[in-house]
Amino acid sequence: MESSQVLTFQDAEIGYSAKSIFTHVNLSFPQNIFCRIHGPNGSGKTTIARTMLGLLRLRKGIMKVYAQKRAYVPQQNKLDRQFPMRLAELVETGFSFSFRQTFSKHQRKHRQEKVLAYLEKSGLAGKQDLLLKEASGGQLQRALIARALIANPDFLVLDEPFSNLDKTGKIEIWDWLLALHKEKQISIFIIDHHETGDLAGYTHELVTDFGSVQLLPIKRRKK
Amino acid sequence: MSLMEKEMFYWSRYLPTILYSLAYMMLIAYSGIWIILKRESLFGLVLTSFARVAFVIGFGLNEILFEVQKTSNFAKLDIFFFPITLLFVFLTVMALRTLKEADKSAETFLAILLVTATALIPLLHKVFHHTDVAASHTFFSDLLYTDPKLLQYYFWPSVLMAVGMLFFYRPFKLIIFDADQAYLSGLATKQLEFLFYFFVGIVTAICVRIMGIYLAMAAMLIPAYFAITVSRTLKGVLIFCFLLVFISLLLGFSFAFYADTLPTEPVLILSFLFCGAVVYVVSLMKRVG
Repeated sequence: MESSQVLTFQDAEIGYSAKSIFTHVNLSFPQNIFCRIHGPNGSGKTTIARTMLGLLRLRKGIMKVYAQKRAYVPQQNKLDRQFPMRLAELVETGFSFSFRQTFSKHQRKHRQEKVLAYLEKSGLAGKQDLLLKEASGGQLQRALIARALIANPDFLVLDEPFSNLDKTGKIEIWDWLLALHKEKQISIFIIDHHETGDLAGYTHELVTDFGSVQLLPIKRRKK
Repeated sequence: MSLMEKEMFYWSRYLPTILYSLAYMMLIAYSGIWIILKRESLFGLVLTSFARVAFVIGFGLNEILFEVQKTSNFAKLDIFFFPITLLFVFLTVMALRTLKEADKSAETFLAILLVTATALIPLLHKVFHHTDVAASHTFFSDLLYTDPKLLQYYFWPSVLMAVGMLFFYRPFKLIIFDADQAYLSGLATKQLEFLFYFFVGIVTAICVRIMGIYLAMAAMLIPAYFAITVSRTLKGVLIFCFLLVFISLLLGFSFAFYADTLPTEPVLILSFLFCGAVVYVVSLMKRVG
C-alpha cells in the first residue's frame, strides 16, 4: 500500500525549532500527484513544503519519503540576483554534488552539454551567458525549473512559480509543468495563490489554514 | 637621492615584506569575496575586532601561564589566540543562525558585538597589565616594520588555508548562493558552513596578527567589493580582486616610499579605495559608452 505513496506524515509536528505550526499531521500523498498547496498568507504553506523537502526537520513524529530524488524551485525573491552568476551556472547547480565530477574534465563537459540541452528545452536557447540580474522574471523562472529538472527528480516542489510572470508567461510555465507531470510521472506540488479556474490539471489540493492542514482530492468537472 | 633611487632603495630593502604582504592580502581578500557574497560584511568587521580581543587575551594568558614577556614565542601565543578566535566565531555563527531561524534581523546584534569588542580592548589591556607594543600592533600596525619572523611563521599555515578554501570553492559557492539547493544536491550544508567559518576565522586571525585590524578589514572588504561590482562572473571577480590587491599594493607602497614620513597602512587603505574607484568609474563609462 505504502509503495503507492510518494510521501507520508504520521502524527507529525511541523514547524521551526522555536515554534510549532501544525500538530498531529497525518497525511499520505499518492504517487504522481499534481497538488496545489493553498492557504492564506502566513498559514504555513512554505513551512510544510520545506519540511517535505527535508529542509526543515520534523519537531515530532515520522515522515516517510518514497521519492528517489526531491527538487525545489524557490521563490524568485529568495534568490540573490546580484550574485555574479550566469543562467548556465544556475542550472548547473541543480546536479548532485560530487568532488569526483567537479575535477573530472570529461564529466564537466558532459554536464555543460546537459545544461545547454535543458536550457534549450526550457525555451532559453542561447541565453546561457545571461546574468541573473539581467534575466527577466520569466527567464529566471524557466532557468530555476530547468535547474530542478536537470537532476531527474520524481518529486518537485515549486514555491509560487507564477509570481513575477505576465499572463503569457504563466500559461507557458503551467503547460510545461502539466506536460512534465504527464510525460515523466513526476509528483508535483505547487504553492499557488491563484484564485482562478486554472485548477483543471491539479489532482489534489493541500489546504493550510493556521494550524490545520488537509489534503483534498479535486474532482474533475465534466464539460 | 633622486626619486628613482629612493624608490629603488626602499623596494629592494622591503621586497620580502612586500611579497609576504601581497600573499596575506590576497588570502584575506579571497575570504572577503565570500563574506560579501554571503551579505555578511558586518560579520567580517566583528570577526576582525574579536580576533584582536582574542589576541589580547592570548597575550595576557601567555604572560601569566608561561611568563613569556615578548611575543617572540609565536607558538605559545597561538595556543590561546586561534582557539579563542574560533570560539568567538562559532558562538557568533550559532547566535546568527538562531536569529535567522526566528526571522529576526542580525544587523543590530552584530553592531552590538562590534561595540563590545571595541570596548573590551582597553579593559583587557588594563586587566592583563601589559602595554607591550606587540598588542597595540594589532590595532594599526606598521606593516613595513613587522617582524620578518612573524611573516614567515604564518606563511605555510596561510598556504594551507588557501589550498583548503580553493579545494572547497564549488561547495562554498553553492552554500553561499543557495543553501537549500546545496542541501538537495547532497551537500552537508551545516558542516560545510562551519568549515567555511573555520577557514575565514583562521585567515582573519592571521591577518589581524600581521597587519592589524584596520588594514585587515580594508583588505577583506574593499578589493572584493569593487571586484564584485564590476565583474560578470565569479571567476572574473576572483581575477579582478587579486589584480586590484596587486595594483593597490604597488601604488600604495610606491607612494609611501615617495613620501617616506607617511605611515604605510592608511596609504594602503586609501590606495585600495582609489584603485577600486578608478576601476568602477572606467566600467561605468564603458557601460554608458
